[in-house]
Amino acid sequence: MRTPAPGAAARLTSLYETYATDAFRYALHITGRREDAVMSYVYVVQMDIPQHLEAEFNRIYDEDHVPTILKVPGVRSCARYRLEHSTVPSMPRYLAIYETDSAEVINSPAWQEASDLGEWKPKIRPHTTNRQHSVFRRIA
Amino acid sequence: MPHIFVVQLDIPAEHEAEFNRVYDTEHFPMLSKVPGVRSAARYRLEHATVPGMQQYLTIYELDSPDVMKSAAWEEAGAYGDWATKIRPLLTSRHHSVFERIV
Repeated sequence: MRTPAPGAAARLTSLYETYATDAFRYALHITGRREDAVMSYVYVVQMDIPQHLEAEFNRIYDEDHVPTILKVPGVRSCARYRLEHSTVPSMPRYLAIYETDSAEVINSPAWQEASDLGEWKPKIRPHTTNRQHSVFRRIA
Repeated sequence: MPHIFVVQLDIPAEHEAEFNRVYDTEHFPMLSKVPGVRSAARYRLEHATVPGMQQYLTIYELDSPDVMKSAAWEEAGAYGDWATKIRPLLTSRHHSVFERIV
């Protein structure tokens, strides 16, 4: 019985890199997209917080709010970011990106319940400003 | 911690097909291959609480913001039809850099 020579996979990959045209790559890309059984969405949350509350905001966000949201079914991950610079003067300073299985996860009772738990709702949310919430579907 | 380069764009509906073709076959793959780019993802808006949120979002995860100052990044950005044919058609174009904190 024939077995693939060692390194065959690497050579195939190298051949692909060498000869695949952009059109071919695009065709693969579209096919992959169509066959992607689980669609991917991101829930993008942006906000500002007054400077004197920033430490408390980050503490409750990291220790309480995000861990609670991550337990909601359909939530895959969360990453938090702070703005360094932007071409938009009003861009909010804080950004959280939640990866979710569907666009509806954020409307589920579990999400609604989780987002109101703990210190976030009474202590932090009333002080946040410039809040922007958006849902995006991954396309590439 | 890694950084992300966040690009938010709008394109008129009549140019959308060409925009996505050039983005997916030229601009996005070229920038994704630049050394220091960890990952890249393109998104389309479903809904937002803010009116005027751009329809298209791209997030490049970078080792550091210096990646965008590299010759490779500049070269990749200038490749193909993007800079000459697509960029002038964009009606909204926001660039932001964020540092990952958690």
